[in-house]
Amino acid sequence: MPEDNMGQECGIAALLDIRGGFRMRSKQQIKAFIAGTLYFIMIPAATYLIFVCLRPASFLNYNSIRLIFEQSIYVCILAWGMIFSMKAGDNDLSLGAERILGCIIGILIAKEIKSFVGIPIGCIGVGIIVGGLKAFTNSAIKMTSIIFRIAYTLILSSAGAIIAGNKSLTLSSKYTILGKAPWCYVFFIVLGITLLVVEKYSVFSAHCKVLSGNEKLAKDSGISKEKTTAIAIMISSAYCAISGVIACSFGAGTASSTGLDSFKLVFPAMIAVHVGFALEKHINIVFGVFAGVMITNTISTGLISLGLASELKDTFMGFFLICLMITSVVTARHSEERARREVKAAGKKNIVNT
Amino acid sequence: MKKLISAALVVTMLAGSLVGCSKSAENTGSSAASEVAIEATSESTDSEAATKEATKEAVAWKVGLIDPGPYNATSGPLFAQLELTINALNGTFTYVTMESNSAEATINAVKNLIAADVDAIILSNQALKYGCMAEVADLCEESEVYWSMFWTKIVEGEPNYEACMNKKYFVSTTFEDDVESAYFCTSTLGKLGVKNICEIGFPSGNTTGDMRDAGINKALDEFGMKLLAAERDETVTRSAEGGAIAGSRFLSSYPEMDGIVVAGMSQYVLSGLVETLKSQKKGIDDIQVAAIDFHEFQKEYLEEGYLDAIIGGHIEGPTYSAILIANRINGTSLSEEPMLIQDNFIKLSSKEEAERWDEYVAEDGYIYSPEEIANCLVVNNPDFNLEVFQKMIDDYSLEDIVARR
Repeated sequence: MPEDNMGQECGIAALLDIRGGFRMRSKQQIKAFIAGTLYFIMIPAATYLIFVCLRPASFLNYNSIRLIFEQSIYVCILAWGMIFSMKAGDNDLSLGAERILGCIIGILIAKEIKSFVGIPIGCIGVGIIVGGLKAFTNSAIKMTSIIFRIAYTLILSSAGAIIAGNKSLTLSSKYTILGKAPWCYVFFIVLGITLLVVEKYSVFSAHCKVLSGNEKLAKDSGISKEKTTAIAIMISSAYCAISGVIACSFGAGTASSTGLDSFKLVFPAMIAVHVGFALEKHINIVFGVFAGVMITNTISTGLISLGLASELKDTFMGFFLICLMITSVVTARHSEERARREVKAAGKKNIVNT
Repeated sequence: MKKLISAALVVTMLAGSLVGCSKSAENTGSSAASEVAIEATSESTDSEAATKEATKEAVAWKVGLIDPGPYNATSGPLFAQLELTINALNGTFTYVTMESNSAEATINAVKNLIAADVDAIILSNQALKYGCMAEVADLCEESEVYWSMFWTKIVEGEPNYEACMNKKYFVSTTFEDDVESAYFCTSTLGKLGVKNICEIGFPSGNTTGDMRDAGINKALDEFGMKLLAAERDETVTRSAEGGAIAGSRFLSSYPEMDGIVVAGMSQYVLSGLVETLKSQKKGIDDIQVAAIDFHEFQKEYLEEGYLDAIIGGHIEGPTYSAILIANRINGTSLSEEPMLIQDNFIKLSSKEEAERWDEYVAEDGYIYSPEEIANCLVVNNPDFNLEVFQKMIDDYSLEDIVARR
């Protein structure tokens, strides 16, 4: 969880500052903007550059970047949806099962009405119902526990399996329009901008930030944890639904899961959110999360391009995440130490002047 | 009030869990058989009546199965035929759901079936895949439950062979020539002039996967092709979305790739892979694809040119298991020793062949009719013996299915 969210005023996000327009307010802000932009571009670019050096024939072309980007879109949307709930202390692992259930119902509706429109109807319908139920339960019971998430996962997975029954969950090409360009790009841009605005300017987002820092302080300030978490759950369900629309259109089908198997769908998104948290000092988390998804997909594609066994992917990914977290913590400590020294020096100067 | 709501929610969730987790379908035919199969079965009321008449002397028995999940072009026809077979042999069936893909879940599923008082269990390759064959063998032996496997090869000298073959209640296992299946796919690409291929396959160490890799390597050597990369991560290779991701990764990593072998699980990944090829405007002339395991839209893909050959149709194994078990339960065992049966694949290389498969199997919903199955019980047909049974296995092909119809 981030300790400091001051960096949110920095980076490319500053370009979208509605209150300030496109006007930069100080030299410090320009500096922060450049630093944030560099962080946003440099970290995925550095990862990509490693593979460009190792296999230039594969990675030195626009098509590779586009393919990696397209397979990142639905993971990124799922991860974006999880930002607020994770900030509010709720790691909702049941989102994988919720997405699968939405895809199953969406595919069955699409086949029934013989139109791709059935997919968003099913996915968004499930998102509203399940998200609403989760939010209501959360508000009624006033407790966020992993046991609830496991219970939801079991219920949603078995519901998906029962509804799927013996029916086919494969789509023919005519139903997959929403997983392809330009629709997947439209979803990505609209949802990204919406989240950026909510994240930067809403009171709800500020409440989430306070909750992530000090729950007692949040309570004393009159922030309702239940209400904030309920909104966060609804947002994560909405983004999960759109992620499902793109995912099942992208792959032309889905598969039901049993037990807790659906957790594996959520982990890449959670990793991306943690990368976003790690970079939050420098860039807005919306960009940080996107960078996280791009990095993990670049590594996966890069390892395939090197001809390494795909089983090694997780080892490399784990190693990379450890390196990233260590770098992030060391950088944060270094900045804190520098700030402390500056304050101390300023204090001494004041005493001398006095 | 809030306590009341909380209590109501907890009760609802528990009830939901119980309903969801106890998904079993005892002899309803609703769990795994394809819809078409159910329709086909209901249409053949006369033949069922004849079958019931013929099987009046047969002992009633109950077999336990593991729920295969939603319909796909491999498991759908397989379980449709199996359910028809069990009914024709005067049996009933019950399904259990595995909680996860693991050895523990497999053992728990077997225990649950034994607790459901089954006389026999027919498993897929879970025991081999998750390394719990010896435990399953011991459980069935202790409980005096006959058991059999399909899609599972056990090799003499290996621990699994020793664990099963000296057991009284182990009836059989059926398997396919997986070296040949992968060789067929890869050599088809070789004949089309492909030089650089990528593979979507099973994880290393999996017996089926290792055999398929041997088949691929054989064709690579023969046609001077090169294997550029393989995607074996099961979190990728068991979903349509994973097929799309694997396709994207191959395309972005290897511009020189001109062929893809899907060495299994095509029923999941092929649609995603084809969608990626379509969206990248590739796949008809510049990238050739061959696959193992039948897919729902294989006819369309073969017609459009996104697929060049597919091998599958290995859905007969559990039917042979049921025939052996039913005869053993009726005291007319075809073999006193456990049987290792190699059955046949079906190869499709054109739209016309795929159409024949769809017409005779996918639409009708069976490969052997209820009458044919009823005649595989010695109490009904005293002429049925091991030799006739072996001929039935050896003859299995698309031509054989068409001819028998």
